[in-house]
Amino acid sequence: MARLGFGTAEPAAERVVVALDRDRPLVEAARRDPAKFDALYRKYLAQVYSYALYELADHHAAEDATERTFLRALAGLTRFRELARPEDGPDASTFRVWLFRIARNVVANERRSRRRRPASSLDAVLGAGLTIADGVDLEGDAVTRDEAATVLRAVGDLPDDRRRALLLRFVDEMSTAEIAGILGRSEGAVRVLIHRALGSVAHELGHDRGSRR
Amino acid sequence: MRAPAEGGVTGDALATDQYLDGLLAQAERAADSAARRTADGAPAPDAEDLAGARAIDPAVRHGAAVLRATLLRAHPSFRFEERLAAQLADLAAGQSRGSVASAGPSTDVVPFPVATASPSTDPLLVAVLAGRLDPSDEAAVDRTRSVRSPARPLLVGGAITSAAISLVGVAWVAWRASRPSGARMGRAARAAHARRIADLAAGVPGGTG
Repeated sequence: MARLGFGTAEPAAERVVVALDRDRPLVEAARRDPAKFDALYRKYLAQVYSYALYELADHHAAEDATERTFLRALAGLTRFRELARPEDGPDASTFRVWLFRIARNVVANERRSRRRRPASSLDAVLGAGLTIADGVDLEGDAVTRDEAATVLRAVGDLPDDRRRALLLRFVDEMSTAEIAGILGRSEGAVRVLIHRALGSVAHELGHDRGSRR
Repeated sequence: MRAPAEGGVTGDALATDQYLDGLLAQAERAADSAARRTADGAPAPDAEDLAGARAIDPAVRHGAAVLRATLLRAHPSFRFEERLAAQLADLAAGQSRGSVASAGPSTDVVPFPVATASPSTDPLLVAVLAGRLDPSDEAAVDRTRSVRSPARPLLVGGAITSAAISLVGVAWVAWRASRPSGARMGRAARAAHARRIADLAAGVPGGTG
């Protein structure tokens, strides 16, 4: 959890609230002793792997991308600069943003090279492992396995930026500010990307429902 | 489904964003309060109870609910997790050794810390380790192809050289190959050769050899 640090030497009226990257202690420890990077690795492994898996729709490719991401992160940790701002909120983790920028680069490169090879679809790869039981009720809304498959297809068909923004929002539960930092876009632009991506998914779901009636 | 005009997109996007904040936070809270709800007999919160939900198109709300249920976070296999942890530990150990080696005046040849993560696996890793590339920089995407050839990097007295990735490395290897060897046998052969030339110049028949 983020903490707020106060300058103790300043008079009370001039104290400046500084948002502290919640990963700062772990990052500083890893800088002093690279072996301590393990804590950051364990903390973010599932998040990075999930992002890569939904982006690449291939378990092995996702593992390769995850491996590259963490090795590059450890190798380049000295270049990481904490840029947390108070408006980033109490849960801001600029290390997480930096790590996901690396993941974005690795995944983008992999996707680019895979364009020359036939790629498997997201629903085909993940469909078999879908944990959605037929008729499961979530947030008061029934979600069926068919709908889940439709959603995966729709996500796979989204333009790159919309798909990335949607995955970071839903899979990694990132704030708009964090996604903006990763994609190098403004927060407003990210909101529009997600809004439009949701519209596309809703359209596909509506179309799918209509065709099944 | 509603098709908003371009001018209203920003407002709709903001409303959607606030709705998603609530939806994602609700999912987090759901796990915590599930037991409490069961004990109290209270019904599960409806998606329409979320702040601003009624301003969102029902189709979009349903789409968001399906996405929330479908896009679950996955965890890689334990085997992969431990293998990568071991690779990172190797790299970390190499970094520690490298920093010690480069700090001292020693001219020992120290293997670059990429024993398990070879450059052929990730061609950019060498550049990142050498501090020549920020891995989070977007340029890292485009530079991957230009550094594809496998290299054999070494740390020599704290300086990085590699014939495959650097012209300076090529020049250094060529210069070093042309230099006389410092081995005892080499010195003896050069001394004998120099004496023979000196004897021939002085007119000594047959030289000393």
